[in-house]
Amino acid sequence: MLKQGIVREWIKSWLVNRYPPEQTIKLTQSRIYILPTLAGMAYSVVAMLVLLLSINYQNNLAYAVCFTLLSVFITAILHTYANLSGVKITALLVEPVFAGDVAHFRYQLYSAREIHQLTLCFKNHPTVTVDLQVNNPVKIEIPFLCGKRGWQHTELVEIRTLYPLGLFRAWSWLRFEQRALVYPKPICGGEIEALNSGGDPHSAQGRKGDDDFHGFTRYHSGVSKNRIAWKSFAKGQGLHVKEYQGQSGEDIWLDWNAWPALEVEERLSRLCYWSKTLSQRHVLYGLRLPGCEILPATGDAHKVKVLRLLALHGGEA
Amino acid sequence: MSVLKGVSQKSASLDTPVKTALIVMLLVICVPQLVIIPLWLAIIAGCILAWILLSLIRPERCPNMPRWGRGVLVAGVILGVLMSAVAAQGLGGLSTLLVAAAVLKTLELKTRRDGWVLVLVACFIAAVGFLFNQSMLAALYGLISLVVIFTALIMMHQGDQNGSLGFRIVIKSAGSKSAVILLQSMPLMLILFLIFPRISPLWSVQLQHSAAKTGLSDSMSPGDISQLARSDDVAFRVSFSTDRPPPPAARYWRAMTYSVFDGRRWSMGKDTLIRTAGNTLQQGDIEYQVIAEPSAHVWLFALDYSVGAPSQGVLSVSDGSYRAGSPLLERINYHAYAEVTRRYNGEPLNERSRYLFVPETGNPKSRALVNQWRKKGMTSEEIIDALFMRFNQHFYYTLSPQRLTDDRIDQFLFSTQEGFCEHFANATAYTLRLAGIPTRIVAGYLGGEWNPYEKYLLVRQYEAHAWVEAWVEGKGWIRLDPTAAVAPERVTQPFDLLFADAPEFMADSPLSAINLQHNLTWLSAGRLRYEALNYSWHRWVLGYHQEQNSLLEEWFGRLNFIKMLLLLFIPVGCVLALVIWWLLRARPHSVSPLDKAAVTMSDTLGRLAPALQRVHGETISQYSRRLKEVLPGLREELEEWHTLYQRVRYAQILSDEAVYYKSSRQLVYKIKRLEKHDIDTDMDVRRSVR
Amino acid sequence: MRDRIEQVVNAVSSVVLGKEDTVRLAVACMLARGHLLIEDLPGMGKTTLAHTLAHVFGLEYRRVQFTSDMLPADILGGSVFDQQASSFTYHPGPIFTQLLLADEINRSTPKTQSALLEAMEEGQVSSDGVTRQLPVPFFVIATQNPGSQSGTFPLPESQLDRFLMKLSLGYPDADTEKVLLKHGDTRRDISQLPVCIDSALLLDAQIACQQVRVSDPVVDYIQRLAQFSRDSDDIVLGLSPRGALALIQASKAWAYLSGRDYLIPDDVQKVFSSVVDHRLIVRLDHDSKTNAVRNILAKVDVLN
Repeated sequence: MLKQGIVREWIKSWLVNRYPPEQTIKLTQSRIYILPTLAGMAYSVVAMLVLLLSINYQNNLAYAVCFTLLSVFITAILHTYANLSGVKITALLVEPVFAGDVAHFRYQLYSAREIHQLTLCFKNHPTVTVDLQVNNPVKIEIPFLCGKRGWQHTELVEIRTLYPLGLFRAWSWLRFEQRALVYPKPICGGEIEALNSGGDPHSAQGRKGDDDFHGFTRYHSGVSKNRIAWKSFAKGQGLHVKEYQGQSGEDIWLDWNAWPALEVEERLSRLCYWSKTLSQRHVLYGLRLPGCEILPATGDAHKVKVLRLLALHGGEA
Repeated sequence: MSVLKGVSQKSASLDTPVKTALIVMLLVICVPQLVIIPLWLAIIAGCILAWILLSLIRPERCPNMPRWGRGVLVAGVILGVLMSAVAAQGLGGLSTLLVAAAVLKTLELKTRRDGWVLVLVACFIAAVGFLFNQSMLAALYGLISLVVIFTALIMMHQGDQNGSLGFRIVIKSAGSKSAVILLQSMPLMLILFLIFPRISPLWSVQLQHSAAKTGLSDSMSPGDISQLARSDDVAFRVSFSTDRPPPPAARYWRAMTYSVFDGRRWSMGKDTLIRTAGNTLQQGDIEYQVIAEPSAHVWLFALDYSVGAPSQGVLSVSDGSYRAGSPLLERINYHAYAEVTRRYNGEPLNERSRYLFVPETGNPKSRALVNQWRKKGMTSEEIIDALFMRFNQHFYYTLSPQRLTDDRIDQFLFSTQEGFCEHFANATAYTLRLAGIPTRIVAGYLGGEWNPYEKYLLVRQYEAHAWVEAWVEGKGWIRLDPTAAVAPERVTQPFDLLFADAPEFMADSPLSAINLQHNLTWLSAGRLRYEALNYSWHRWVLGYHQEQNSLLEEWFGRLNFIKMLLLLFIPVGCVLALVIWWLLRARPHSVSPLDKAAVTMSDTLGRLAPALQRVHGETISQYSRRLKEVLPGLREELEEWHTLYQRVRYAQILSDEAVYYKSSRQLVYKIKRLEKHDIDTDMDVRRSVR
Repeated sequence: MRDRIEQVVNAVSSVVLGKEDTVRLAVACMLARGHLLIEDLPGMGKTTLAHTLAHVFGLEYRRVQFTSDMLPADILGGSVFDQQASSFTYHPGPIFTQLLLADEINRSTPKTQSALLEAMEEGQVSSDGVTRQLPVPFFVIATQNPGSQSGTFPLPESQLDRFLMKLSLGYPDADTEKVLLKHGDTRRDISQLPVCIDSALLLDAQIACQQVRVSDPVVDYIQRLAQFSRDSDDIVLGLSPRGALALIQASKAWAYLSGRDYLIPDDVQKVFSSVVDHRLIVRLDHDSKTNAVRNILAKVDVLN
């Protein structure tokens, strides 16, 4: 078991050394490996049985069947090889994901010939099977489970095919110059109150006072206690929060130092959760990390900027 | 454009079209087995396959078979197969077993692995089928079966395609792909077939054969041979080293001699085997090769008169006939030599009494006649002449003589006076023995149909013949054919012409082409061609293991291991290289013939200077404008060509097409003749203009 | 008839200097019965171009300056209480004209923009349950400032394709600018320009444009262009079938302007960027839109 693992590691490192990462890979003979499948071996056993039959009965037509089976076996090598050769695979951009989610690595496949039943996958991950038409690029997404935040570089992609007869399996390993950004895993926790800059609820209250009262919304965790409509709660109408028209003008800071008790990753996860949540509510917020700061803003671009900073915290830029 | 996302698919399950294809494949494979497997299995297999097929096509109308039902079915079939396997000998049992296994597997057809099992069993069944039937038709059917097998296999690996497209389209594409693969494999298969050394069987096996075949037997009484006239089965085929057959009168094929007579039947005596040492061949001797059909008997056929040693495995008998070591269960192929006139070198006649024996009594009239002749003091030759004269003058040669009773020879000689060859031979031999001349009857064939296409002689059962040999001192055995005396045309004319009108002739196959051909000449030619093909088939395909050595030697000289490998790898390499080239060639999308000129121009100029190639986004007018700058010499031609191109291609003024093609040809011709320096200077000009 | 159209081009070019191609495109747009959007920085002459076009085509035209406080009724018109008749009477808005100059359309709120764009699409105005047909021919020439300018509401992308073409003028080249500087503003000359064409003639020309022959190879080419734009990784949203149709329509007009009664790929290439530019959504992290569009033209083979 252990030995197998070592061998696999060794093969992997050899493959990594053999193929420098590229943006676009064209499958040529130096990359394509081909071996008979189990079924292919069973097929050759049957061919040998037929040979035995024909030798014993001196039957030339049985010889012909045997030789036809063998010739098809040989021809199948070429067909299977041709079904992989010349395929061009281009790595495309990958949408960022949160840690623990499945990232879809996107590729564009292209071939000047018709290609059938190409199967692509990362090791131990679900596969994608695709047919290619002549000169008609196809985009595919290969799932990969991302565990750690930061840049997730692509593993070796396995591309293989059994077409047409399933006697042979042609495959290749692809190493792409491609990476996916993995945000920290969002973990719910902490209170938004603690995130308000200055930590003085009254000053925030004062600013809000200028704005017009707008309405009520349902309570959600993390809302400042000052904004809860206690009156309506007293009437037994449940927890509601007072919303003010000008609230989007309020500055909220997601601060690294808010939870001194937590580990680095837990803090990032929590910041990530709040960034996600606040963006959903279209709230203005900023981010403070050791050594950098993003001014309060809202919108998708802002969210992406914040999450990216969280994802790459402490690592490469 | 839709993006394909990942799916986890661990179980490669088969979908309905693939299952359907597999069932159809099994049906196709099993059809030739119907004559071999027991009837009950054929019926059960048919029912199971039909039921599964129906449940695949109309799933709503077919309830699932209960579990116990399957169990009972499987157990029953297994029991039946075991019982029939015990009863059957040899391969019938194997065939039954394979078919039963395959059919039962269809009940459990879920994953790709199950499909594979079916396919592999089908491959094996296809091969086993050839042990029972080796005709050309069977071979053709086998080829079709292979196409079907590979079609099913391709469909198994085509995956999702099956769902989205129609079944018919999928079948068609898979079928053509499978045909292509088989076609590409054919050269390789042929090479292997040609040079793979044929090893002798690893262990001895017995093929069951239907025993009762028509043909000569080891004894003869009048009427036996005329029975053979009912059959047009092939007895054997002969080819000659000179590619020319001997004249019709010399086509006596000896199978055996009957020397023992019990008053009714003639049967074979105990002739000794002789060892013919060396070949003392002379000018004019005939070298020939016989392919004998399986007869379940040991005798072979020798052209009179045999001389020298036949090929190995053929035994020479002292009476001049050949014999095989064991009954012919398969086609056999041998060489032999013949001399046209027998050379007598003075050896004495052994066992003279055997050749003179006749029963003491019976046939008084004949005895009286012979006594009369002997009293006259006639010599042997004169007696023979007298007898043959009688035949010639008063007798009829017929396929349907009257039945003879009691004193048959008296009756034949003096009252009915009609008969077939064996009647005449019988009477002749009897009479001559009475006269004290040693005689024996020779059974064999006379004649044969020459096939000019493949240059061989085809001898059929209806050409069976019996004649007499008499021992004449100083001359040895001489052939006496009483039939020739009665009906000389039997010797010179084809048998089928002679007896075309006789109802007995080929009574067993009334619709045979031989019967019809007298009215239709084209049919006759067609039949000959078909037979020629069949002959080649038997000789070169089915009997290839007997031909291989001489053929390869003739082509490539003495073979050794290295030569063999070279023979294998050079052509195989070439074929494979061709196939891979064919597979990998980027199929250029078809350029419209109108666009061809532009493409050629661009390619030609690109060879001279890469910058002069047309880029993708460049329209023809932009390109021609660019070229006009670079090639001032061709400015007018380019202008004209470009205008015409637009008129024909875009304005679709078809009347200008011819002019356009002419202009294109001229322009391309001129461009092809451009030299590199023509353009280099031009490019400078262009640069300075810019 | 074609001479008259040629005159139109010349007349407009005499006012909008050094921009003959743009002028031709604008004329082609009108021949193809399409609405025109002119986008440029202030002071580049977009309004001049629109004015001149309106004038030389001899169409009845109105000009509406869009502002942020405009309401849909300011364009479409609305019911006003008539005290004498003591009932609501409908006052048609400025849209009821043959040619509407919508100046700085992106200064108005999305609501107003939508109202105009809807009317353009349907060729009719519905108000108070009554549907009123717009006159024929009916054109909108809208001008807008580039989106990055402050105080603008960018037109919704999904509605942008109501405009057949989007043109921009760009800075004049040095020589032209010198002429411009010497002669001063040419705008007041507009009214002195001859009216070259009337609406009946225009309709005839439009019909003639429709009859330009489109051969199969050109249709294939356009299809390939559209397909490429859909497959390209630089482009989020490719050319819709409607966009492809617009491309043929505009190309036909260009072919007609070039004096041909059949379409050639050159026509398609000429109008391509003005027709397609505003219909594509290009991936943000890629350089600029024009690059992606130019890429399509460069990569798709004209022949097949």
